Amino acid sequence: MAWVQTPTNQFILHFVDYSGVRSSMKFHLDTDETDPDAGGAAAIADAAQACSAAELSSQEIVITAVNGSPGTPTTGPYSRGADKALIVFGSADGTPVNLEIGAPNETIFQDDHINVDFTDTAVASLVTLLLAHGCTADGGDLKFTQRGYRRRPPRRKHQ
Amino acid sequence: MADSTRVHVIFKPAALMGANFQMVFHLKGIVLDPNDTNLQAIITALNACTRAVAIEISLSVITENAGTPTAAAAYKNEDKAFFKALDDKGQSHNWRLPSPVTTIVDDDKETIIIDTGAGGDFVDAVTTYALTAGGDSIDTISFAYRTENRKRIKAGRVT
Repeated sequence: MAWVQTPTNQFILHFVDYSGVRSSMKFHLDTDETDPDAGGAAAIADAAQACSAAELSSQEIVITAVNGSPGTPTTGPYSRGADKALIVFGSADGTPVNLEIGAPNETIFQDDHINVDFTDTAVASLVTLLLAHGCTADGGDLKFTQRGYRRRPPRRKHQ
Repeated sequence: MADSTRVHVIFKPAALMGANFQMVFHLKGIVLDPNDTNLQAIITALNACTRAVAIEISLSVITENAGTPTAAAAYKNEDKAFFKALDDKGQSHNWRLPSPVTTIVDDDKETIIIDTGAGGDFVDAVTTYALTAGGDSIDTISFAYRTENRKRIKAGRVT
């Protein structure tokens, strides 16, 4: 896979006013701007905060890249994004962390087609990588997997 | 800056199998390179678990600020300072800055002052650092005015 970075990075300012209402502003910056609190990002953030009575609660840089050779998706059981395999990780402080895998291959499930087979090569590889390099939203370590199972998509109303 | 990177991976399922969907996870530390070895290993592992294919990734780093919104501000987040700009190709762009402070609003309560003060500083910062999504420069912010986006008050509901 070759990933091609888009020509600019997004820079998003998140505001909250004294009533708790949130809003945001989005800019595009040079791809060299990777620190949301430095350079042009900081200049725009400071200037925007001086113009607004709302609090600039956070500022975010988003780097986007597209896959130059994405391959071809396959069809078969559970091939919609609404079908999910849910893998629940346990973190160092006990907080569960969910990873939803859309359109899961049926090979990652046990014979009951409900529970995730953690001995499957693809699942084992993914879990090993996420335990090593993944973390919680707060930066805490992921320690173990709690469970994994298939979630059915929400049903449509009867017509 | 936060000590983790949020990763959104957009997957495309097979034709006629529904819309694109995302998988979201966090990586330890700040990862700014879409071709980072660990990130690519995780995406490869995800691809092996799903029938869909990864077509786009977004890496997000956030800085949080500690502050307090101005209490009883004249203009809340629903009120915007609407800045209209032109890029170097003559295409128009705009930004909506929430909850403008009264010092950047002219005496007519509608026009935003963009020549001097905080409004002028904001215009300078945007024209200096902001780009279009395609990487073109922002040439000028020609004018700005205040807009409201509030629901109309229903007749008979105000006592």
